[in-house]
Amino acid sequence: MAQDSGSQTSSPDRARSRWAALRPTARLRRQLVQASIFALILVAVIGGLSFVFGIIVLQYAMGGLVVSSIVIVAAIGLTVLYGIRGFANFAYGDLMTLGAYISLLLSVNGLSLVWGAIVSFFVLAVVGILLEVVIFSRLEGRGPVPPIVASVGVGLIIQNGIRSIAGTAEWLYPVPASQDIVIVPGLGIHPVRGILTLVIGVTFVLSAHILLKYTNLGKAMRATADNLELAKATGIDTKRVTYAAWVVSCSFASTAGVLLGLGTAITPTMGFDVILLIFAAVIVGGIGSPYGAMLGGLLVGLSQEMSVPFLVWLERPDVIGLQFGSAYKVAIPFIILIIVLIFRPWGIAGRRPAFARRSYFIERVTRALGGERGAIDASVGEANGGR
Amino acid sequence: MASTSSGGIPNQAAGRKLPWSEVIAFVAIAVIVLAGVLAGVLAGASPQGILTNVGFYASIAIIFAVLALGFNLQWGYTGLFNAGIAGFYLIGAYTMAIAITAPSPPIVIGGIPVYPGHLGGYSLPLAVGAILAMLAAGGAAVIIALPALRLRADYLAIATLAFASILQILANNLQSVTGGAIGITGIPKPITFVSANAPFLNAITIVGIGSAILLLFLLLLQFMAESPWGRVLRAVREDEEATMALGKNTFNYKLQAFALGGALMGLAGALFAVTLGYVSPSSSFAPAVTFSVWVMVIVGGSGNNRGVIVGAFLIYGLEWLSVQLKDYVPIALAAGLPTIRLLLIVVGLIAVIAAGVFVLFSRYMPTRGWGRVLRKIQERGWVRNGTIGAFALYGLGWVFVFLEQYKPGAIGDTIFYTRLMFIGVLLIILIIYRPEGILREHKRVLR
Repeated sequence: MAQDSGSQTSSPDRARSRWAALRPTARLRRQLVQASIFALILVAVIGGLSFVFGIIVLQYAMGGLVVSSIVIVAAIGLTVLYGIRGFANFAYGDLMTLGAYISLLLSVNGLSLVWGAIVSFFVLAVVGILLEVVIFSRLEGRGPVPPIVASVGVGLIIQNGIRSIAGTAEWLYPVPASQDIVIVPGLGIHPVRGILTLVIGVTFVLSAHILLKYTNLGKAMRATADNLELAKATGIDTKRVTYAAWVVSCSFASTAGVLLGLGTAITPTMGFDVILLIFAAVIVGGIGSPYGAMLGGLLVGLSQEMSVPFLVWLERPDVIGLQFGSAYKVAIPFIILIIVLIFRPWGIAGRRPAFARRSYFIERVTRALGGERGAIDASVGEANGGR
Repeated sequence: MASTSSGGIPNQAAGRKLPWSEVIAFVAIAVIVLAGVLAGVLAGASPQGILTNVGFYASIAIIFAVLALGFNLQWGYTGLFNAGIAGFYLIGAYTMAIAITAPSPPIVIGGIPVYPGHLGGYSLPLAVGAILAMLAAGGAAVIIALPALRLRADYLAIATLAFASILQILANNLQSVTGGAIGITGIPKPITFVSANAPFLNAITIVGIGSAILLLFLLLLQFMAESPWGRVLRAVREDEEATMALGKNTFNYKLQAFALGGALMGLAGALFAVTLGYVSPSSSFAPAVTFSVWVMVIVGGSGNNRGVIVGAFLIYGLEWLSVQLKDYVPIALAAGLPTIRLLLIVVGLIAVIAAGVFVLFSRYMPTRGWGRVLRKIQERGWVRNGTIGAFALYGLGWVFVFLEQYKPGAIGDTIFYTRLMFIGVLLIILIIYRPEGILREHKRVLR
């Protein structure tokens, strides 16, 4: 904390500024109010639903929270990298798979899963730095598409490398089998798949918050994500920040992969299968914003899991007789994604660009109907969040 | 092209040299086909069987070429990055299958539903089916483009990828329409042959129809790209805001290009349905298809229609060859393991020595005769790239040798995955070192 207040503040301010970061500013207060309103609405909706339909809704909500905590860990990693490096890392899911397989390899060979996860955390951090040095630093300043193509290449290499070395069979972590802990009859939670995942998810969210808000590195990362040129001009070592972003991103990917593997089975495509869910969380929350990613992850994970009873209801022949209704739950996040892309491309928690209109799509339609050819597309560059 | 044909100045005439990259690409395709034929001969197939196999290669490569043309119109000309090629392809294939097959009711054996049946059974003519497929895929492209096109390239990529994966979920689960995991079988061939040579004749007709369609759309796209419309597309790609400032409604142009590209992908799907005779939501419509098409367009040179066709034949050729050689690679490796190891040691030593000689003695090289050639080689950076390439090959060779030694048969089993890894490596190397492709887009100079 002492070097935190360092060179930028003058000496009289130093005593006061020590806790300045913790003092609620107007913006923080507003955000807190928004967050508590959001939480209240969430609790009210879930409570109301479970009051009407019974305890089963709470069970699905619990499952949704577990999925959300995995998605949030992954989405924070993805969005941090997006904010600083400015491209969508399509290899992110495969990096998660890699993390899961590294800890699987270690835990099969006698190490405990916890140590396996810790080792893969650090291995993936090194992998991230290598990726930046070997590949992505060469693609800087060439727009968003070349890094996407390269990241797809990286993903193909990781995924198929795993397939050819470890085979395509499903693996399970050697976790001691245990029953669900029953809270209320009809509402249970698994000690490893449920409680541990939730705890690790919350820990990672808190550590990301502390890293971003209360350290110099986090401040530099936020500044770089906000405006690269300005950050450079201020004297921030953006190269270091980039490496830090890769380290954070890839190590979060490894932990998210381990959590995902705990929840289901470990397969070579487990990461690629959830990459769109994570993208949905990132975009819904506003790309490049870690707090938005938390919100988006919560929304996406909860809606995916809680849509299951609804889809099962649709399966009934007297409704529409949908076949395999619950298979469509993976489509729900995409629908949310498309709706957000239409109405709020900058995300529900992202900062609205200066020139964006109230509702993008409606504006477009009215303009098209009115025959007025708009320069609305000119604001698109800013509308897409941040950079 | 403009700079060479406007001619008259000797320097420019001298600048017209043999298009080495095109020659190499065509030779590579020829080598691939010959190697496939050789593998067939080794396996003891009949001449007709080998020809059928080559015909299969050609017909699938034509399908990929149509896909690549569509993606080239979207990305190469207009700069719209589509990550959902597999989705449009799927729409085209299923539309074609639903339109032209005969009715196929659900099959229930012993009370257990074996096949859920599918929508359609309209038995429409092939041409109508193909047009419907293009319309459906183009319409889907318009629908996805309306919200997504005004966003930045990476949002478009994510949105289209999401679209493609929703479609795959639908194809798998919407059983009453798509036939579920089994898909739709019994899609009629263009001409029904009854002779014993039916597979061969079918392959010939499909290659004929496919190449006619490919040629037609190549000419059409070439014409469109050279027209004022194509010029606006390229202007959008280079600088959208400047184009807008010139009074063009860029959104409409982008929408048109995206829809046309989607329609072409739908046509490719229709060709696919007819070629294979069945569609199922399997690996044919997996995201790997999208990534393969990217490689084809990047290899061929985005913005160059002829180039992307060459790229499609080349990259699909490698995939096809890997299947043909699947059985022979392990045998050859097992037989030649000591030789390969010796060869690797020799190659590695030569690479090290050559690199060392160049680095140490480059400044003492004579300026005439062979020295000049060597110096030129060094100036072009071939030494560095050659050394890196030799070492990469060397490492890869050792990996193969070790794999073969400790896990015999692993290479033959994993050749599909190795192929996809190779595509990944190719994507990275090309996008870093040669983003304009092997056959690059012609430079256009406005006078």
